[in-house]
Amino acid sequence: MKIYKIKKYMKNMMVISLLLVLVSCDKWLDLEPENDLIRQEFWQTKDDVDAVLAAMYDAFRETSLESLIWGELRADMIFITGTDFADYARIARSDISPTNGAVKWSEYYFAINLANTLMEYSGDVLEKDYQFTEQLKLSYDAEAIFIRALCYFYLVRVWKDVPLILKASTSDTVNFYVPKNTEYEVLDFLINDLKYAETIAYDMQNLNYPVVFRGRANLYSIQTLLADIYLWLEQYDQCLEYCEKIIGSGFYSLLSEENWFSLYYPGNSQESIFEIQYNDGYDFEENPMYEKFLPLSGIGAVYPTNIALTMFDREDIRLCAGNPWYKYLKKSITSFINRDNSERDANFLYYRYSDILLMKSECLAETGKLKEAYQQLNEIVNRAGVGSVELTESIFQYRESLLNERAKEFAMEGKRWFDVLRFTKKDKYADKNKITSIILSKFSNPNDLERLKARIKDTMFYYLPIPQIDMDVNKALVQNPFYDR
Amino acid sequence: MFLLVLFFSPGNFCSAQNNSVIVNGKVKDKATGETLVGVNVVEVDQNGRFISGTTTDLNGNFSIMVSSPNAVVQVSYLGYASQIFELNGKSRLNVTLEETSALLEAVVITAEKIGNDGIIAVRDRATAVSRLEMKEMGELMTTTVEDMLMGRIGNVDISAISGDPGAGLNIRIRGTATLNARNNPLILVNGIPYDTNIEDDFDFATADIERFGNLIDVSPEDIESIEVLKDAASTAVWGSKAANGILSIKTKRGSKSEPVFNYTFKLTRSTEPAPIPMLNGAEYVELIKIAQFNNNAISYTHPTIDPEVGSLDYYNYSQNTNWIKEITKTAYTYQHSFSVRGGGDKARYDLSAGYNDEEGTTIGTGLKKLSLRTALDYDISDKLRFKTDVLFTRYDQDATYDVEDWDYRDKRIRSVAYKKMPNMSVYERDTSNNELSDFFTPANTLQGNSKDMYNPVAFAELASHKRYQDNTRTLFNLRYSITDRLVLDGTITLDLFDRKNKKFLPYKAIGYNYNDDITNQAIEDYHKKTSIYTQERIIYTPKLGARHDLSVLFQLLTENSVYKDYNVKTSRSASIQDQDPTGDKKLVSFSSGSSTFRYLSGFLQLHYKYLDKYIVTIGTLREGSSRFSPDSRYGFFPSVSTAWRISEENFMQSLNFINDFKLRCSWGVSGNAPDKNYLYFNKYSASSSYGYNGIAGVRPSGIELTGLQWETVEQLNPGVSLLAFNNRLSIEIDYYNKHTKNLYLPEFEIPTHSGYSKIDQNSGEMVNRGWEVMTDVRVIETTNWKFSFNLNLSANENLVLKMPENYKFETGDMLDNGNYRISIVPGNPIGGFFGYEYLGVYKDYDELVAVDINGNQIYDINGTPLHMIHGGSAAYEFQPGDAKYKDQNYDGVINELDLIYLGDLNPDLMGGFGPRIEYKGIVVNGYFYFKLGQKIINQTKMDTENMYKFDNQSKATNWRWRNPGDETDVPRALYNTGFNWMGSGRFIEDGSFLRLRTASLTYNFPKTLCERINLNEIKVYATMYNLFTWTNYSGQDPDVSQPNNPSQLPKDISRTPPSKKVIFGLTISF
Repeated sequence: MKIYKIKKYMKNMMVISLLLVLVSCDKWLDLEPENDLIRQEFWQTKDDVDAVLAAMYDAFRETSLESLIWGELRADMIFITGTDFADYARIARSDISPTNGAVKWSEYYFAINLANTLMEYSGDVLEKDYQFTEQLKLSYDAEAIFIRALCYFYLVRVWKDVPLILKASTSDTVNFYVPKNTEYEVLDFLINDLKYAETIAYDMQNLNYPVVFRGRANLYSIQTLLADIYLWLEQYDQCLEYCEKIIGSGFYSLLSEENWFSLYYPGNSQESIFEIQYNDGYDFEENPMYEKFLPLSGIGAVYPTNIALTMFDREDIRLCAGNPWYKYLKKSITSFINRDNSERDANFLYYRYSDILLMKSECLAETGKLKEAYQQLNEIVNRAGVGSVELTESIFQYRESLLNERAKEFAMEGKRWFDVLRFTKKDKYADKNKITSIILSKFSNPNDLERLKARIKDTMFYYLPIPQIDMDVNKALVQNPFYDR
Repeated sequence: MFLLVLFFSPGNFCSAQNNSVIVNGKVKDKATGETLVGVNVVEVDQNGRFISGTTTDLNGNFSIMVSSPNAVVQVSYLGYASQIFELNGKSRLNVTLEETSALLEAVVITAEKIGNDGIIAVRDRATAVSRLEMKEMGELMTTTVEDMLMGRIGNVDISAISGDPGAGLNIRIRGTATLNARNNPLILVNGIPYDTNIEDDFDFATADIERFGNLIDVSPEDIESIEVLKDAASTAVWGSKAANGILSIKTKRGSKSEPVFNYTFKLTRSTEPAPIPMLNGAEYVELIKIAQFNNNAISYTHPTIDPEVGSLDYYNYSQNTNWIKEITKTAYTYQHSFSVRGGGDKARYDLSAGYNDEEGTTIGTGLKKLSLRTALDYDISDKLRFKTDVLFTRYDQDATYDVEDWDYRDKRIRSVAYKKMPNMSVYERDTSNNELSDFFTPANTLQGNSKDMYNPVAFAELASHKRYQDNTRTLFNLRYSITDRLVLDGTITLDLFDRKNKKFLPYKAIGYNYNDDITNQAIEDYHKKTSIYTQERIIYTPKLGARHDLSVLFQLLTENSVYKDYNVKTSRSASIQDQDPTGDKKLVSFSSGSSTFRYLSGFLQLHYKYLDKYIVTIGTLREGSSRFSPDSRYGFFPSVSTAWRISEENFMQSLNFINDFKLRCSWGVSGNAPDKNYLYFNKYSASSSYGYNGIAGVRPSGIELTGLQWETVEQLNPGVSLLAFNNRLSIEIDYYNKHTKNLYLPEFEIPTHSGYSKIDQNSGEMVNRGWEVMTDVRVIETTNWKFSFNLNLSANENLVLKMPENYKFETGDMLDNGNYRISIVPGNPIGGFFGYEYLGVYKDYDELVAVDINGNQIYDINGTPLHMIHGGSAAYEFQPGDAKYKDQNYDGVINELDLIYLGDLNPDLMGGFGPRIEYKGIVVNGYFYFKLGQKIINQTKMDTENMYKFDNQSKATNWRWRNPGDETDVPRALYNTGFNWMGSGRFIEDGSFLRLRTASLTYNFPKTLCERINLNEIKVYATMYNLFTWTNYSGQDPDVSQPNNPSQLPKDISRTPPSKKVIFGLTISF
């Protein structure tokens, strides 16, 4: 009898378990990661949006070291040594190939992807969290547009034609195999995009805005970037218009000669328009320029060249008492003490007020107002404590002086190469002497010097090749001329 | 067991209280009339189950209380026929028993052998399955199952990852079929998966395959048979898990008999073959000086290679240390195993316990292993029976401390020992050359700091790496026969894998300051995997008349596996006694993870046989895995196999020497799932390092992979089976074609302008095809003499058929030294590599000129002859004494255009053969194992002959080029410059070998002698392993294992070679 019961029980058990398995199997196989978040469950609150916004700035911050290097490397003011920088050193010597490990744009595109992601998905939160208002979403969008535009502006200045990606890569259904867009397509898009951002951006009412907004894009950073892009495109009237908007806002002014060093340390001064923030209070937020570039650190070092050092007058405050590099290393202009371990978080300046004034000066000169241009230029020169630049009637003379002053004003700040390239571009590459002499001065292998001299006139040589890893996997890409043979 | 009996018969005990009666009696031998002592007298119920029992005393008398006057009593005694009596009210019982020993030997087992799947008879298979009966292997005393299998079965390639104890093995059945890291076959123990891939969530970047060691926990003594299932039709029931074949192991179970005790003792002595001879102290010093001189033409000295005579360190750096010898020892292994098996009509049992104490041939390594196993079968009735298995294994291993930090130059002790400067002393020495007790661990030597190049003896002795592992498997099975023809069968299995690694690196081991960040480092990592498998089966065998046999199987399988792990690493422990990564120490890293995997499949199989001649098996499988998104979650995989037993046809009846002749053909599709969980989600990760300006950051970390789908493997397998000459000749021949489609490509590169660089996707095709022959001949079979011979041959060819146009899989900077290129391109096999053609050494300056295709010199514009240069950015000009590579395109430049295909690791032919000779009780058994035509990258040779750094080099470098005109194929010593060791044919060798893998001698003591001392069996034996290897390969071991990941090159790195082992053993059974 007992056995009979067991039998019956068994039979029922089996039938039930069979049914259970058949019915509930699909649910049963639905498993979600235990250690990771997934998109379907993210994007719920304003905090989620803030977190992606922070990650976007963090990703952009990751590009700052590269941006600085691309802005200086092939020009004449730094030289670079050490094992960590071997690939960069090769590029500095004009030994450039698409397989060079430093020839990569992935970090810029990573930040661009985060900006795209933020713009695409932040809208989902609107109806889930009332704290996240429509107005807030728009001002976050403006920040994303700014970061995306600044990344693209670096990309076109380094690579010229690049793919313009405006959709977030969230799924493998996205088409990854897109061709390049021309530099002008990209810049046209950026101008329109930034003009839209200008209308929705958070307008700071005064400079004592909350700390959380520090180092984030606002209306004026967007306008400054627009001015810079117009300048690159040699559209001086539009550039001037945007310079005047910023000057007219009254929020920014030049620091005095005595306070000048506070621009770099501790930073966030009234002269600063957009500076990316480092913070030693948090792990991973230390400024990499300190460790990576500190001479004698062994793994890599960046030194000012003789050209850079002899450019300055002795009294010029911008010489930082001997080495312009000290703006990243020292505690003050008079002190030779390196910053402490806990103070290596100086910010990286992308735009500041003196930049606007020099842009304005350039626009005035290029539009025939040479005298006013010199006036504007001398405002900066005077601040450095080295008298004034002599007024001349020649635009070429003026350009020479301006390039020289920009070199000193933004020494080691990642602007020199772009300045040289912008000046070379003027009048349809009328004068390539400056840029070729800079390139050849760094060239080391005498065997190939002759061969290179002929090719150096090719203006595409001033840009980098498309990274080989992308060439290999994306058949829609065409290698930049000069590197395609 | 008695507990179980008690548990299942409470009802009977209750009723015994009422009408119990006492019965007395006497038991005698029928033939002699003598009384018998210790005879079992048992009351049983109607189903033959035990109720209560007693034994007879010294006078043969017994007294038993039975539950009722009508009870049934069974009387049984070892060696006698047992008898059953119905009491029918009697209270006295006199019994005479008849001896049956003569009868026992006449018993012939006629039942058909059933395959390990428990359904289809071995004889009726239409699929490609190799079977190994363990009693054939009885004399081969091995310590592991893998040892036993190596080379025994066609196209099953088992190669050891290293000779260290507990090191893992790579098993490939019919070649590498997927680019997924998971190429090892499914291992089934008693029909339930034994997951070898414990660490799904484990960091593959840092884990090497050794960690997946100890594949099969079952000890060889406990195994009844092993089957290797190769074609898709035979593996169909297991679906994706078995896409790489199945190794199915069936352990022994108790059978109806008196208890049989078995004890085996084994003693193994392992020694290492002679290592590559390395330079001694003086030769090393000379080499370094010349290598430096050749680089910068300055004579070079360094206080650690030629110390000043009389200086404090003079004797510390003036020795001839053979570092390999210093870390090597002769190792002994002791192994005990004890088992008892037996059973009655209703219950059968098999219990075993084993203990291993194994030493490794590298000092400081060893393995202690305890394994316990219980197998119980109980028939509750004719219709209902259950079965339960409990398997427990504990490992306690002393492994080598493999450094995990990337900033160490070398991870393994043995490779450091090869490189370490031989003029340095192991122990500190005083100024009179007396050895002191401390290890000599200077912080800096010529070879760099002591982290880069530590003292390997100090490291092996002082650094500890303990590995603790517990594996527990509990299986419970119930089988219910509704009728004779319809059976329900359910199994549930719980599997627990629990592992802890504990490492400690005391500061003295590397000679660093005790409060340095890398010293007194304590690491603990812990992994746990819990799996629950269920298997429900319905087996239906309808009666369709004498001519038809049909069986229908429906099976549901589920798996639910949960992985958990944590890892913590600290440094700067204040005391070397305090080896836990807890307390006030510097936290280096801490991580933890968990994930779950679920799997489900339904399988329907029809097996039909007509007239015992025509056999068809059709299977359909539908399976689902939690690793896919709901859209692509389920796969459908059909299979068909057919066989035609020609030997049953009328026209074959005249050929009566043929016992069984069968033509087979199978076709089937199986699926393969990715090996990682949660791949298809668009994931976001939060990290403090993604924050900005005081706001925490979260960023997307992976693309949603909607395109992930089942990788499918379609396999066609025709074959022939023949049994002839009274079953004394057996031949199995198989051909197969395994076509992998929708190849799962992990880490497929995508344009970086997407914001990502790699995704996983399915595309591409690959094929593995080949053949296998297995033969078994029993040549002589007489009462005293027996001679049999076994041979298997197999070949596998691998070919990539199709890859996406933009699939890029290339590794290796070929303008640099030391690299080979792998590229997975259509038309080439996986595992192939490219490099330069090596032409020896430029013997003098004249040889350096560049020549065109006709052998004429090339001149530049100015008319000066061009010399050979290297294509790198430095445009290095080759010098006399440098390595000479073939300039394939005659442009005077050695660059990537000069690469040629150098070969692949896949052997052209592999197999094994061995005779077995038996004369009376003496058995001699040998087994040879070979692989032909595989190419090996001899990384050890590259490391020991490049003369590029301060590493010690092999004696072969004494034949290096020294002066212009020297003809040699070893280039000059050149420190840190030049291109003398680029990936070329110089380090590629043919790895063909023939190895006498086992040779054993067994002596079975005569039965009569055994009986005299009341034992069933005594057996002594000696087995020798890896006694001889015939090969032209110059490295340690030509049996190099295939890397688990196709992106890694098949390199022979300097690991412990397979040790020569001698095993002495003794088995007693009573």
